[in-house]
Amino acid sequence: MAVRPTQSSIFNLVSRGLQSNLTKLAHAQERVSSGKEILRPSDDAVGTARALSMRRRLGLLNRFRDSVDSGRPILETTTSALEEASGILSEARALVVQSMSGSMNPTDREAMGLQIELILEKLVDVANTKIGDRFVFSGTKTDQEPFNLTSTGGEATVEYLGNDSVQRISVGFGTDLAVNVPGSEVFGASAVSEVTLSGLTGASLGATANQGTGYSDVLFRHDATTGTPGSGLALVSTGQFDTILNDHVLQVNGAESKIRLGNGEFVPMPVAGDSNYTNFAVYDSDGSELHVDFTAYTGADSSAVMHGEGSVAMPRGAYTALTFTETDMELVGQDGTVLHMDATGVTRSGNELASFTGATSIFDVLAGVAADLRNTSGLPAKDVVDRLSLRFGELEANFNRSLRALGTLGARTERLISSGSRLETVSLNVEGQLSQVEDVDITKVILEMNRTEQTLQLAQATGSRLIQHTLLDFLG
Amino acid sequence: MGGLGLNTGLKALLAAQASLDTIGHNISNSNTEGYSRQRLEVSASAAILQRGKLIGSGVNADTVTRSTDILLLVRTTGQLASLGRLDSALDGMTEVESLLGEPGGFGLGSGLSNFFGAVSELSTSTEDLVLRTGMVQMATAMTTQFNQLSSTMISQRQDTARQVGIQVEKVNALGEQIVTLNHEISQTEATGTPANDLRDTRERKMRELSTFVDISFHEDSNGVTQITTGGRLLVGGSRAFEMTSISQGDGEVEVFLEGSDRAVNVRHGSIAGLLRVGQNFIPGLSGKFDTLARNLIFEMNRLHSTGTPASGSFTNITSSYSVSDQDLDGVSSDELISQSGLPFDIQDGELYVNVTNNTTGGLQTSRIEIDSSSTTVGDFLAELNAISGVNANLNSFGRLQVFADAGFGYDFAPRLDPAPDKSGTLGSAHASIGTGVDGPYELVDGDTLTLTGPVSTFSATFNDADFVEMTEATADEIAAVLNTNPDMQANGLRAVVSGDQLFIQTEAVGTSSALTVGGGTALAALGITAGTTVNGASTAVDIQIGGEYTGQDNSFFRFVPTSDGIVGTTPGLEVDVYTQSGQLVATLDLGTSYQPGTVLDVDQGVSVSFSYGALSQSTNDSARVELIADADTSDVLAAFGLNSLFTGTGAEDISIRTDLETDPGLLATGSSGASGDNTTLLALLDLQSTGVDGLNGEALGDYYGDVVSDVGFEISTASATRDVEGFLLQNLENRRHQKSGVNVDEELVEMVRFEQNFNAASRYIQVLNTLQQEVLNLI
Repeated sequence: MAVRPTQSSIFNLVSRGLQSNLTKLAHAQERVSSGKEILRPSDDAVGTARALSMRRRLGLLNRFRDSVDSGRPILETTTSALEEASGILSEARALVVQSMSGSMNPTDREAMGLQIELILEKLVDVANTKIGDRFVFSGTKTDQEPFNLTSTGGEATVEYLGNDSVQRISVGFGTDLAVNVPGSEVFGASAVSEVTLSGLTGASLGATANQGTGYSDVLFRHDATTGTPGSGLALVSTGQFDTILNDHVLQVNGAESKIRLGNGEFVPMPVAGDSNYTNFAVYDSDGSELHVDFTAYTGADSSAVMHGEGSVAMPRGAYTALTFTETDMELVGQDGTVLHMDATGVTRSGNELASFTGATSIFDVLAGVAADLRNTSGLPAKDVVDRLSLRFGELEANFNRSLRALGTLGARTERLISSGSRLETVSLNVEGQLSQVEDVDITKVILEMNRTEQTLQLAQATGSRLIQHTLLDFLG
Repeated sequence: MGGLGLNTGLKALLAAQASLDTIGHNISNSNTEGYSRQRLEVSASAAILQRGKLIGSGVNADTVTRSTDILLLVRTTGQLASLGRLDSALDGMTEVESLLGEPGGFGLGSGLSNFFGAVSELSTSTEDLVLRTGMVQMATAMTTQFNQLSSTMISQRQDTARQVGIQVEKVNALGEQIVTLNHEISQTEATGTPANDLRDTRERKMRELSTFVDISFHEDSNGVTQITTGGRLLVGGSRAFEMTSISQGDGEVEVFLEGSDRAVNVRHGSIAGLLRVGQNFIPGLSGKFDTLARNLIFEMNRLHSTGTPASGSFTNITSSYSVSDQDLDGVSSDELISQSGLPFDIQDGELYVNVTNNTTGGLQTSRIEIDSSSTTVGDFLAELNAISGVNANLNSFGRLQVFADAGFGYDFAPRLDPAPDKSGTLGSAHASIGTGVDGPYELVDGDTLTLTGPVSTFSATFNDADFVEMTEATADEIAAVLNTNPDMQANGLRAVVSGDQLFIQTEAVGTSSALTVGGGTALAALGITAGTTVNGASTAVDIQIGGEYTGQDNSFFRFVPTSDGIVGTTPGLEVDVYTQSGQLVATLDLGTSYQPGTVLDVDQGVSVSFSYGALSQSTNDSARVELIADADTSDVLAAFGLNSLFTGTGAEDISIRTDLETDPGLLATGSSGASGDNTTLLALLDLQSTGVDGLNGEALGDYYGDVVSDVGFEISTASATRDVEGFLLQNLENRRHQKSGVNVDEELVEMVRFEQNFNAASRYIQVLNTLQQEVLNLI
């Protein structure tokens, strides 16, 4: 059939052409004004899928970045707290070193003890550092103040109330990073290489293993002195000031007016009228002492075996009498400490300090130093210095540990920062890709718009011409 | 001439006039929709014999015909139906598409993303109450989006059903009109006159009808058109058959034709499009959202249920889902858990329940085995009730309620028991002897065990009735028999179980406590030597477990000494550590070089320390610690909705657990209950990228992305098809215009022609008249 255009088909044609061009213009306008290439999924289903997945990825990356951002202040606060703690510890070290010097007298030491106690309190404050509502050193029990300082009978004890867990944050696909160091790790455990007894009583460890944590005192008490001194000498107050335990020979050399106890040196006897004439203390080389009264002194030589009866106990425990034949005596403390002790070598009463493998917190060390410095049990100076040097070793170990923890934290901060910047780069990349898929290429759309506009104008011009003319115009 | 000539002139005048009238009619209708151009058909009149010659008698105006093509009509109606279907389907689908709000970032995608964002934010500072509330609110926002999507889709579907109803009415109206037109056409044409304009109208109505439903038609000899759709008569010879639509509340709709209760299969037309949207597209899409919501609920709940809230262990929780009486026997506790009407499936697996004594802080972990093919709701309740400190029942709504005794709390977290050797089966201070082999034990009815305690020597007898299967007597069953024996109680003896191993112990501790296994027929099966005497000890070996289990599967470590000796003292004292599969993972040296209390690493992040005391291989000492990676491998908690995060089963009813909204403190951020423990949250975050079985192995977000882009694909495909079909229709329309349309210019030319024709005929009559006048003048 020959082409036979009709008026209404021409009208339809013109209006359809205008319509389609206008639709194109409107779509272009929509894209330009929204700035988006894909306005609804059906515009580009593949692009939509890609855009959605990139958006998800971007969301994840942003979340990782947020995690990094929230992790940094925690690490930084922890680091600065640890730096402060190291400062405090070096202060404590200096004090301990100073206190070990022989020139210190008990009053000086007591003053230093007080200083150490203040340092301890300061350290507890630092260890209880908070950021916002969260304690940084309490493991994951972040609402719990990690270190609780209590003072019983003048002795400070610090209890750790946090846990040993590490809190992690997610900073990448499958990458978790720890943001805290549990307080038990920083201020807590330090290993002593073996169990030791330090003191002058002459006790040694038994054959069987021992168990305990930190330090424990072993108390050797002098109960009574038996045996009669020769040469008319007498015990003072039935021996209540004596510290001798087990057998000690008391030798009197009348000719030289000298007296000696056990393996001690001969010392000159007092003469009548001396203030100590009725209560003279003789010491053996271990420092065990025997008090004798010279009132009835005959001047004869003599050698008598003096025997100190005694008993032993762990702090706050019951005393057990010693026979000095025990080779593997089991002492059980109230905190579950078990100590096996060889009592055959015990020569004097006093305290032995048992140090165990296991958790010794820096606070225990400091509290111990303070107690040693105040020396409430009246230990001889040599004992005190011995103990201080033992504590000093512990202090050193703790100081080193705080430095190690600082190193760990530094590395973690480093990792966090580098993760942060890597995440930044990756999210920029993804944002770029997303923009390529989703955002409109303005130049392209504007060119497209121009072209459509031209077409529209042409269509309008030709259309108006087409529908203007009919034969009527020429029929007279 | 005379009469004949005038007559010829008159006929010519009349014919020209009629032609001009038709042209006028054409011009007037040049813009009438569906109008077909008409023409007056003329023919030469029969010649009359005059004076021996045949003289033509002029022109006859025969009929007015219309220019039309019936095949074109068939094709047009087909095309209109296709296009109608695509148009209405596209309308419906684009409306749904806009509901998704993608990819602009206002849709569910951002809801999901925001929720995970809130989880992530909370995971960095779990103690922050504001962030907790934030996570709950983001969860609510997300669930609301799910709910809204679901409800708008339902209303969209109902809307579609209503539109089907309206269009069905239109179809019926058109049917009636066509019947009327059929009648009028046959009446008119019975007289032999073609009913041109009526036919045009009828064709227009048919075209209109075909936009609603696909039609086929044929015309009989009386000019009556019968119309069928989907093979069923819609317009018959004398009447129209009524079309009806029946819709359900949920928007399901079907179309019927009078006279049959079988639904009409409408393949094309806008009704078909609506049906496609309402019956396939929307339900399919809602189904996908339901799947997404359902898997989200289940996966999140699985992880959350084994967490512990900051408020600590639970004292009383009620399940979100309820069991119901499926077999209608009046009790619901006899149903298998897997068939008790719970919305989610359970697996064969185990559930660990930790009970904490609030006063002592002591932890007791119990294990419940779940077998999906045999564990009933009642069994599960009984197992829970068997745990001391915990009670469970079904409330009147069939929900599982678990509450703790006063002073106790419970949770389902994967915990590492720091002190696993509760009854002292390894290095006990009690006099304790273990069986030489693990259960089950092959006992015989009437087997005896002779024991000597501080009071007396007695014999315990094992009877068939006390065991499920005597030849496979479990350690628990034997312990139950012994512990109810009055002689055991009188002698201060007890039986305890560690794993599958049975131990007989004195209640008393210390070196003076002693017991003797004298003999009895059961000894061989139990692997104990007759006449063994064991003594207690002053110190028990305290086993302390530390670290965090990093393994992937649930297992246990069993500690077995290889010789007798004192920890840290006896040279060569060793403890072997075995896993559940019997694999030796470590041999711990507890000899002279071991300082009691020193922490030793075992394996998989777990460490152990032993305190001072004696271990005995000869009395079959052993202890075990449960290693729990997933405290609920059976998914029973998630199936019941205990300690869940979300409730509901699909997009329609997904919601955050109500009491979390009022108390965000109940949100379980970690397994330990410590305020800074974020392990549960980190596990939830992993769901962003881990594939989910129920979603064809896709992650939640990916699945959602696929759903959205599938919608996009479907619409863009339909839209492209629509453009093609529209173009085809345009072609057909053009051809119809070419065939039937009015070209005014053409008509004007015709008009001029017939005007001239008229003029000529008038002149002819005038000439005849003049001639006649001339003749008359002659008279």
